[in-house]
Amino acid sequence: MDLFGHLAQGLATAWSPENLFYCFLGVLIGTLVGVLPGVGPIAGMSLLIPATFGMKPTTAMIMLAGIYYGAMYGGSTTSILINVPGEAASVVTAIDGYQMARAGRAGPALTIAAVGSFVAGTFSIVMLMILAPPLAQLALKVGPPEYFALMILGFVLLAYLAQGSMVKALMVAAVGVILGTVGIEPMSGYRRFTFGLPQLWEGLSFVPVVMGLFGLAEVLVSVERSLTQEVIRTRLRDLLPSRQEWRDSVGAILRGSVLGFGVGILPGPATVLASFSAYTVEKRLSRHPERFGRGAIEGVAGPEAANNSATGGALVPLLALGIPFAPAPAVMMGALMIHGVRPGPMLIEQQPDFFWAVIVSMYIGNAMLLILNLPLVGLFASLLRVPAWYLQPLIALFCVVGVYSINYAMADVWIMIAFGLLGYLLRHYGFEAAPLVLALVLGPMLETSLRQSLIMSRGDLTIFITRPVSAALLLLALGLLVRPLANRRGPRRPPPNLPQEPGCAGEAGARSGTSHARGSAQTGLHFSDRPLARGAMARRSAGAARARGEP
Amino acid sequence: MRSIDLVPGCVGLGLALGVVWAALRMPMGTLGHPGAGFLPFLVGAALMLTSISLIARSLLGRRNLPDDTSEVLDRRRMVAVLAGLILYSLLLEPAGFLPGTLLLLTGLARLLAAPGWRAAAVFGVLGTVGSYGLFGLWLRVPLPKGFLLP
Repeated sequence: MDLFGHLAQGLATAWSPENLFYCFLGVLIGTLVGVLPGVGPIAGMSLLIPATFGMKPTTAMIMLAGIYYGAMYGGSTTSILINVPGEAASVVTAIDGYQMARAGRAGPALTIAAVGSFVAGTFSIVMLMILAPPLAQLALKVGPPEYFALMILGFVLLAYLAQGSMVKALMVAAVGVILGTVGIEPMSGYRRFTFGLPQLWEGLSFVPVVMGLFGLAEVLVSVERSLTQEVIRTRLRDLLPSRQEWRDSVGAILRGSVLGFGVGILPGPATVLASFSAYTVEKRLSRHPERFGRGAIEGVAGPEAANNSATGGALVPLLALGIPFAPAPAVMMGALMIHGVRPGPMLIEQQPDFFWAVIVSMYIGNAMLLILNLPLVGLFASLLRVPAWYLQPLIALFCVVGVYSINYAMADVWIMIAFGLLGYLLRHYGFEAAPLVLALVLGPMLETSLRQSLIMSRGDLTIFITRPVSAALLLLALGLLVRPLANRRGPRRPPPNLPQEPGCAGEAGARSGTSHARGSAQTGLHFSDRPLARGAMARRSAGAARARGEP
Repeated sequence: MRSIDLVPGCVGLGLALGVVWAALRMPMGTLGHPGAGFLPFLVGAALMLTSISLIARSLLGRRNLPDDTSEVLDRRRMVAVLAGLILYSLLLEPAGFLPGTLLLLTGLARLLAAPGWRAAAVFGVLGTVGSYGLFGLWLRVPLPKGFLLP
């Protein structure tokens, strides 16, 4: 079947009333979790996983994907209107978006963010559609050693690009792999780390772990703080950008779309890195870089396009290789596995209906988001006036009841509470929880590919370095591991030209900085899952910490 | 100067030692046929190395940035919310979903600065009815009835 045949097949499935409804629900919830500071797409998806159990796998994936890319749209609203990003990928948008809002140009900033998101989202779906099938075919030709090496590289890259310490990210990933080994070992039937508890024989349930780490921990972090912010009001008739603003934005949107997709494919917190990279590129390319930080529309258009495009890019390794490189696709993979769907190279071939329906639903969802976000932006912004004491108890309740509804077992609730506390402590001590979730999902696959590789080679470890692809991947991973040490011995280099925190962005930033930093921390603003400390912005991007030689 | 990394470094090291010890008691197999303890041993060793690295950095005085220290945190609220959830989980099956949820939502709302008990109670009632409608009626989750309902 050709491309258009597949698309027609996908459209037939995605256009059913049920799938349209859940697509709409997904993008609506996504927008809401994007708007509400402190609740990111990972927490949103985690909370909704139990609600998908009665759905078909395709419908569940359509809704979860909708939450993921919908959150990117919603995140810009709070960045622009109150200088508090609704989620981490929109941090950069606050720099110029909020300055535009202060100057009475909130409407054009919101419109450009929405249109840029739509264009980039559509671009990334086209690229996902074009790239995923051939990549899946290619993946079928590689063996367990290459898969093992790719997963090792994924872990190292995730740690390398993590906010703050690489050592901490590796520690958390190691804990995740260990947690993934809990339960009956499939080859020998040996019970690992079950402590005599039958509830653990089948392994740690994915949903309680994720809901604890991202849902409950978020509540525990946010109840320590309180947030009051003034929301800048905007009216529908003020939404239209001027001709000059359109002209300034077109190039930024196109560049952000391409850059975001490329960054999205790589391991790491794709959407955040994409928006930061796009901002840096726009500032460097601008003839008037001094406008950045004072309300340059390119500083809104580029990052917003990039973070949306990155969501499509991040789905490529998940759908084509079955290896999620970022935390949010890892949550999707966990949910799909509960539904009996195993993403990977065979998925597109064996379940084309699933793959193409999800692709088509993303086109539909993007159009829904554009329609939702422009006229209803005032409504979404008004949600920020809802007191936190409404939201936090409800999220806590949803965590408990949502987890209970999986197996009707209190054991799952206790696991969720334990991981909620663990998530809180991880944040308190400056660890990211995201590598743990990724490792929990990838751990069993890592063990299988390691075992298969060693059985293939009859115990010869050189199999990993005699096969060119796995050797290259492992060499790259090793290079990334030792690079910080090498940098530490060499002369110190200044960090790359990163966008500054709103709180540090020149005169304007100096006025708004305190509120931003406070707001960021208060709302549990995350790179992926951890509250950002004041001044952490400079460390937030990939290379910064590493360039300073900090392992 | 010790940084806040010392505690997690020591916890990580303790965990790593426990994992390696447990892995050594599992069938290790051979390189050609790795057993159940093979991967836990390797990953436990990796955790041990990274934990030692974190402890060393902490003792050598590289201070990392703590969470926003300029901010006053109310840790008692966090502890109270956690305690409330634990109590709710303990009471959920014996007391039932409706009374337990009403108590939880009302208590948490009041704790998290609802303006007075009346507002908290109204929120508690509406939240309980709404969540029962969502989980009990729409998603058909067999929620615990407790001793109040037949």
